[in-house]
Amino acid sequence: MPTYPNLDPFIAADPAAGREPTAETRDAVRARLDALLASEPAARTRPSPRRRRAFALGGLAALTSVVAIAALSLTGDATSPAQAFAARLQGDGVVHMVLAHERTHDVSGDGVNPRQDELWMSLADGTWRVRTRLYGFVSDMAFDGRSITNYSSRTGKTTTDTPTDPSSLAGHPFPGPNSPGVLPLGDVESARLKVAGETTINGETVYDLVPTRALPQGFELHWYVSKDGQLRRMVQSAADTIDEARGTRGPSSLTTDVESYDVLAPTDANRALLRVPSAPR
Amino acid sequence: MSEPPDHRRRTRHDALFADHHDAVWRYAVRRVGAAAAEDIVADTFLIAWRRIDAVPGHELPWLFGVARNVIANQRRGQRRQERLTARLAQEFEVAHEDLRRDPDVPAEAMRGALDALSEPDLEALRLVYWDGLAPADAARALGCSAVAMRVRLHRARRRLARALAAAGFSADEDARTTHLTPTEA
Repeated sequence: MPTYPNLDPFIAADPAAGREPTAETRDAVRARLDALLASEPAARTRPSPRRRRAFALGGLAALTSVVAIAALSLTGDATSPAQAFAARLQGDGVVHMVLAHERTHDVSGDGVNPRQDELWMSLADGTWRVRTRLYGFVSDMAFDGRSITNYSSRTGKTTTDTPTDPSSLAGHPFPGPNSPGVLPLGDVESARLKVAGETTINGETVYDLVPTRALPQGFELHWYVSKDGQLRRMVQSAADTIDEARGTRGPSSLTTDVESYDVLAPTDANRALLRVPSAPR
Repeated sequence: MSEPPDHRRRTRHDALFADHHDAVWRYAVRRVGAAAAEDIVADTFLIAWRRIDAVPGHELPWLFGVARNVIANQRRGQRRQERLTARLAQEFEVAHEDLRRDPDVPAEAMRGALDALSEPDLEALRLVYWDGLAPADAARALGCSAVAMRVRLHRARRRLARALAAAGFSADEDARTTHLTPTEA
């Protein structure tokens, strides 16, 4: 029988000893996982060499079709992005967006910031609410057209601020003077943004929108927006970032994908989503 | 008629989640605290879905290995995010959260002793004494050989015992075998 030193204090210090996740915890993980799985393609499989060859030939045929369709659409689409936007999203529904984790990229590699945002915005008056989860804490902020209510689960407190220029916040829940609105094609219409080109995200052709004015210090913003005005991806980058801790410098960027974007009907229940609930979670 | 492959994968993934959610949650709580555990667990099972055909029959050590990588990636991302946010904030006024960790991981009184251990040694002890893995399974979770794990465990036990003694804990090196001798696989 082997003998061991007395490690009882270490065993007693187990922070999970005797702990079981609650049903609420398990449900929250399952809901989070289901949201992630919903945006996943089927699980990866490694086909046999014969099937890989068949896939390659099929892929070539599909690529040819995509090029042909893209050429047709480019020659046949005369509607400007702003016009297309104006024809859509009329009414007074509530835009609902769920953002994926921020991805970071710099010269030392790629990473993921486990922050996740969910937001709602009224198409009728531009009021909005943003709920941010990070490391289990929740920050819940709502703009009602005049003031901002902010709840933090870390402090358990709800505070209210009245900005000096509330009109500038309507329709713009993302912080910063150069950030996009929830309806970026509306920013094209108002000449805040312009179309720099088109690309594809997950097989969908999207506009690449950039600010109409050049930004200082090599900063770039790209908002990738579907043809019908739905924000799909946000990229903020700096051409020359100095990392003093590592002694490196080079380009870096933050990429945030929009996991879901939908417009809810203007019911009382959906309008209530624009307010910080009395018992936020 | 056999089940379609996707349905079979989904069924296996659901079973994986049902069988091992709690163990992976506790694994995450032990390393990042309860507040951050939910995201770690969800991301771990997302990767399990992506690689469902590669999940071995002995699933838990493999899941712990995935969770370990998820935590490492998030920590790297967090460090980059903190640096990048500071830079971008000049232009974009990015509001960012204070990335505080749970204060109870590990218990305050143990910190001095645990700080004396290298991360590989500490992880070996956590896997065996907290997560309850047999040394051979802990080796699978860490991607090392069973022999290397036994050597690491032996060394880590002695170092921890010395560190505990230095921190004021009783640490007699006597023949204690109760719940200190995990099953050798």
